[in-house]
Amino acid sequence: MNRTVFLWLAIGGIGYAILPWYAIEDGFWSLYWFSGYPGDIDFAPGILQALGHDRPWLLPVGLAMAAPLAIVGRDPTDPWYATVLIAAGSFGLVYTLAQGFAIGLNGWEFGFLESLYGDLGDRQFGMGYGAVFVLSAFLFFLTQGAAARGAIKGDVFVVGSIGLVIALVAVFIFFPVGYILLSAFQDNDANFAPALFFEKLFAQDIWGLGCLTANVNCGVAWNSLFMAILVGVSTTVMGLAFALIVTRTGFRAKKLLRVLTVLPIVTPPFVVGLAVILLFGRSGAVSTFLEWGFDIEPTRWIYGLPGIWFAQTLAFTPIAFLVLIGVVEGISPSMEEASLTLRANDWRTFSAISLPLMRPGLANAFLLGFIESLADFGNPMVLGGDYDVLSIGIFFAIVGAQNDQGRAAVLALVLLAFTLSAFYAQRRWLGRKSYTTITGKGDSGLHARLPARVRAFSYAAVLPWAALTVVIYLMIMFGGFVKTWGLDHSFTLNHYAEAFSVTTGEYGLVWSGAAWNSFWTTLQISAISAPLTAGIGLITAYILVRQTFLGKDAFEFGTMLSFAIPGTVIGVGYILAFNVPPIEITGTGVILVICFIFRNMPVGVRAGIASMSQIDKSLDEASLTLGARSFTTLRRVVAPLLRPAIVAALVYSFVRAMTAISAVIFLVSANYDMATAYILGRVENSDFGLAIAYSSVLILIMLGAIFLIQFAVGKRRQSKRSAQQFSIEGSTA
Amino acid sequence: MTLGKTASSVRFEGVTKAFGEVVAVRDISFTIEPGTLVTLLGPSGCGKTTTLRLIAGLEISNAGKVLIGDKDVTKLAATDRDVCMVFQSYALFPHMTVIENVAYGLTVGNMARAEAHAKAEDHLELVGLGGYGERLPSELSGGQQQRVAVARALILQPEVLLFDEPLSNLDAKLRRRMREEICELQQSLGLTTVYVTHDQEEALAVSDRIIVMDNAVIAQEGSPRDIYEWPDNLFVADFIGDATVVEAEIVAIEGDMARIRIGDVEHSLAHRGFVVGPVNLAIRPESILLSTAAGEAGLVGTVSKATYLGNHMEYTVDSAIGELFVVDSRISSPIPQGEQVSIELANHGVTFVQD
Repeated sequence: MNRTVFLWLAIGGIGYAILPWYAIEDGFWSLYWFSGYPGDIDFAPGILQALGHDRPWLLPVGLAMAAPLAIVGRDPTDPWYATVLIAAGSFGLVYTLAQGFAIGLNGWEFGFLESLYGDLGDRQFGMGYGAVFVLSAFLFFLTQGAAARGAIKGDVFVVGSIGLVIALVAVFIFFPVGYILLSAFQDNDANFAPALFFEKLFAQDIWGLGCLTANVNCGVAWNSLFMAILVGVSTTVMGLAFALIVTRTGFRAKKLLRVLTVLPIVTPPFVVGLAVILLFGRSGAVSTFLEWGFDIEPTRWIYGLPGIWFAQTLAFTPIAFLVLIGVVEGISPSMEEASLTLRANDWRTFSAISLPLMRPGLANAFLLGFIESLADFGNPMVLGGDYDVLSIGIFFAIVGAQNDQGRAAVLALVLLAFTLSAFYAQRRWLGRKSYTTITGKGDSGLHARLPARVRAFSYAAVLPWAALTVVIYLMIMFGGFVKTWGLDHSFTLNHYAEAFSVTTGEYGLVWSGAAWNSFWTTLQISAISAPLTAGIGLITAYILVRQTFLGKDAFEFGTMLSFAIPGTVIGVGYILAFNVPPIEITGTGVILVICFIFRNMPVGVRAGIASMSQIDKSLDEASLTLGARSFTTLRRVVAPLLRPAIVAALVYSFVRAMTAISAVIFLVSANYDMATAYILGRVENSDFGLAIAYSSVLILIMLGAIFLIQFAVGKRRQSKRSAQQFSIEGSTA
Repeated sequence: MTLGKTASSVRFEGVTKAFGEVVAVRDISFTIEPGTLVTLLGPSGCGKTTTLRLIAGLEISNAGKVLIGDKDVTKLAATDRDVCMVFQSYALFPHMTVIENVAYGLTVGNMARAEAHAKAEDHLELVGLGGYGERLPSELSGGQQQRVAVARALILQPEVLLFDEPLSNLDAKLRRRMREEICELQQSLGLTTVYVTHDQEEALAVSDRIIVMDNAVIAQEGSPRDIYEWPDNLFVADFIGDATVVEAEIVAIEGDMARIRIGDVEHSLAHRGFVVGPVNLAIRPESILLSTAAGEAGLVGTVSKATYLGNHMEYTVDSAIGELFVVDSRISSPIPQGEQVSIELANHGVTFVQD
């Protein structure tokens, strides 16, 4: 008998016979349920629910759980071993989920079951730790059975990991997105209403083209699309200018430019929009100056498309830059030298050779800017004015007075269709063509000189951007210290005091500032989700790079999909899907952690894939032939070599969790308020002082974290640099 | 130092391995005797590395049986086979010191660290690297890295030791020395060893037996001498050493010998089962003897190219039976280009081959 089977048998047993089956209302860790345990119907474990509380439908769960006892003492090669495990696991999974979905808060969930069996007279709540343990046990029974059948060379660990990732992606990405689709076809009383769906889908306020002919607003879909294209173009052009200046000119302050491009990554997205208001709003610095100097009447021109475009271009240019710099650096100098020796001048070389070779990078940058713009929630929220976009429309359909879930679902579907098309176009277009110009061998030579007009253009684009960025961040840093921006510029510490005051009360320190609650929650949730994100990302990358199995392409697509799903869509999906049993986790911290894990997972996967591809596969194989199992190999050989990637994934997911807003805004609750949601709330109330003060504290903390970790990783890389090079050499040899 | 375990045989029975549509190994069978060094030789893409990886368990065959000793290991994963491998890139773990690398197999098997390191030190001495334990692999030269890789593979006392083109990353001089060391180590430890290379000279030098592979199947199996002197077919004749292949005709069989006609000339050599009729004749370049003295009515030709290579001359000769490639060790009296020569065939290095 395999030890792993015993382990999961024990875990499943504990889940069924000891832990409370249903979710505890005040949280499992409150432990107050101890008083009523195990007799109380709310806290009883599965076995007592089935036997003592008239919930006989939980009985088969226990039988499936006990089934693997029948194979105790059998060898994994015994055909019965695999058969029993697969049967128990798959039946257990399907049955447990089916009963969870079939019986909800009001008894039978589906009318036909009620007509079939009559009124149930009982109901159940969301699944708790007991059910989670049991379901995990079933999942791993199934994977161990599959491994015993010879899947993935019988590797229990790898099969288990694949099963786990598939299950998680299915539950936390496909299920909520599917739920949106379902809600779109329902009216607000959960009846099937396809006519209503089409009515909503083709509504005038989504697809209307009134703005072309009359002085009314166009539909939100057109607004979003138009804005996304504008932002995609502008960020790509700006990013290219940046990349050219950093790689192809002797510009002195390159380092500073690089730092400036990091800043927006650690900035909550709407903070840029906020700063734009402080500059160009009615009482903004520039507007006031223009009024004073030139008698130009301040207007609200910044609210709407110009403001969003401006803020998003500022915020997303670094993303385009990061994409393009790799491409620009990757162009082999010998291509350009060949062109020059063939009598082409530098302009011709640039336009006929360099630029076409950058095409995949340009496409990639454009599509990323396009997707980011569509998905952005914060800037349109702050700067939108009358210019409605999809992400805002979704938000107000859910939280606004109309509370129209169907409309939110329809808008989410439109938004999802846009981003998925862009994602698909990106993969398809880039997948087809090979522009690889790096050969792996050292390619000596010098890049061609940048043509004068390109250089002039690049400087003209980048220097104002850089200056503006510096101004914006100075304002964010100092804006928190003035009483009322634009009206009363006298120095004050009131905003910081209001947010972060600490007083000594009767029982020692009291965190009395208004921001502390959301601040600690944010730190806690980010700190919990970061290692989980990095871990799942790494394991997924390992499976994708190092294992081959049937359906791997679909697996890869599934894990990468959430990259293309805007946060607002995920947010809507989560509140629709996880507000009711069997998975009832809205309003908890868990849903925030899960949301961050699956929002940020693709980044971890990509980082893992990129660095794992650099590690010679024979290192893994050497470890395997030396008798190490795949888990040992992962732990002792692969993971240590991936340390920089792991750290990067950790930092990134931590920072993203601190700055995220679009999905979070739907998921925060009184108990679990996040910093960004709190700040946005203050902005909506025009309480700019506190919002700016809080934002600047967040930015400083994240900058500090990034530099600290960069410093640590950089150090390590220095000492192991030769080792690193060795591993790369190994792969090209 | 001796190994505790006895070396095992390796047997393939009709093994096939395909990657999607591409068949890398097609229905091959062979047996490797315990304690021998067998080379898998062939051009790149012939399936030799796949065969090696099938022995290691890094690939699992689609059909057929793989046996190590008497045990059927066809479906057994690499971790569970008693086989170790030295990789082409050495695959030393760059984040571990040399001693940690060598001891890895032992510590994975839960041996105490101190004991594992003591044993690893012994093995480092065995390969002549005593005292190098605390270095990182990147601080060693290519040859030293190679030795560490060998020590790491030996420490588990495998039933079978595998080498995947172990010398291809070394320069020519070092390659010769390393292959001698590997040979000595193999013989003194009596290990069953399977060695993959595309270098025919290396294969001839180290092997007890050679399995020549071509296009997913075995082209010929035999001792180095068999393979070189009596290649079975055109591919082997061409791949192992150089050979000029000419068309000839067997006119009569006389005992063990066959009388053949090449163009206008007659010659006789061992018939090796060939019968009267047209055949292909493979001629080693050193078996063609050129002389400038005008001979009798023998075969004649013209030197179209003469190349000086230090310890021998290479000639290309146009003749009635085709263009001949000739190696001549008499460098003191080179034949100038354009000269008329008479051509004779030596008694060795001329053999019949199948298409």
